[in-house]
Amino acid sequence: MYKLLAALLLISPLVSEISLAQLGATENYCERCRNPYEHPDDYVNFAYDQIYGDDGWMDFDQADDFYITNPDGFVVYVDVDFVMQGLELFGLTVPMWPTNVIQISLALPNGNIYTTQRSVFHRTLPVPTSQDSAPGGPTEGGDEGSDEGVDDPEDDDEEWELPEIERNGIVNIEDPDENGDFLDTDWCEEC
Amino acid sequence: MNRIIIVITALAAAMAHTIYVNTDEPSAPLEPASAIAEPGLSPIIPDATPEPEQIADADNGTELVLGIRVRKDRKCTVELKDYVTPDGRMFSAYTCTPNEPRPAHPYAHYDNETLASMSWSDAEAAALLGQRLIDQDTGRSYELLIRATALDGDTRHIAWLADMAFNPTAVNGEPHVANLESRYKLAELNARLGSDPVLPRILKRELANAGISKDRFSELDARADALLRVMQDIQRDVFGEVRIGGQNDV
Repeated sequence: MYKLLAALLLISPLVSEISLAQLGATENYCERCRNPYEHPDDYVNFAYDQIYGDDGWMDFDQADDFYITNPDGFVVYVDVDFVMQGLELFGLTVPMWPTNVIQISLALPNGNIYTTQRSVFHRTLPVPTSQDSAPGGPTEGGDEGSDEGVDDPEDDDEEWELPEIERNGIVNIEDPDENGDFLDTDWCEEC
Repeated sequence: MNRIIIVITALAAAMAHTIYVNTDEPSAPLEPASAIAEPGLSPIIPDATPEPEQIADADNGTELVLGIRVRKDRKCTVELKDYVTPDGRMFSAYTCTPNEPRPAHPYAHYDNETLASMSWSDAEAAALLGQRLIDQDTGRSYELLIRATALDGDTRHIAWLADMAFNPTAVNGEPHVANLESRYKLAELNARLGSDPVLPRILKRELANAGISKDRFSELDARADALLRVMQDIQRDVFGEVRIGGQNDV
């Protein structure tokens, strides 16, 4: 009887921690975040900016997890953790101290978990990630994309299957050839 | 003896629970849906929100604002506003409005052609153009950001490239090997330039867990070497010497 009582008492903090895990998560509004299924990195960059951006304001405890809601009402749960460096012990890695990289995990409305990393040394990251489709136009000037217009916000609430994940990667990225040369580029050497 | 242990355990558990609950930040108080819900996205509460009550905490650089703990050194105003989605759902959410507009990049007014010309020897121009082209022409962006690092030695250009071009690192717990490989290659390059050597080790561990072979790591390391040679060539062209990590042609 004592053992049962002791076991219940011991696991009660764990149970309460699990049940209250998202209780302190605040809801934050991101005006420039687009459809999370097509542009999850808008949410990643927005989350980063709340912590490390020029206009960062979140306390680290507060930034541990929170919700981001976009103008269309999509709600994304964000979990932010430092990537931990650890000690290898008998094939297991014991996390010991944080690195200069944070891991940002998004729980998308359809339940998919989108995970990526960011270095803590950046300043403000772009939201949205592609400037040509920003609601207010390019944020840092330039003439590209002006004819493309503004992306219409996604209206449908269909469950998407992260199609962009397939096209992300090393497609269209050319490394230098075996001699270490990139493709020919016309540099202006007189400028 | 057993009873003493049980009592101590119970007290410890109760204290841990109490401490956890008390330090948990209160959730955002939801405003009653008293306002008329209109389709559109403008906040119901006007921007001229009076400054919220702030409770300073001198110990850790934070303070309580509108029920949540925020940094005191922030350069924006924390507000809790109500919003209405296009389908009429109302919600309350925090936002932090910058106190001042962010200064534009000094080259922001240059078009891409001008930046391309300048980027032969100007790291800022190369970096800005590389960032502009990250979605439209990732290969060109890759080249420009490598060049920017070669010109000014700032490894954050390469870190930015890795973070913006190679996402995600995992979906539903399944590692995205191609992106991790690209990140590893760039992290390895940055480590050779004097940046944090821990990151490539962590990425290497993740890739090893995903089943990447030693031969593949050798290939990736060789690509990092090739990129390093590219940067050395850029420095020879522009500066007449190699300036990476204490290396030089002498």
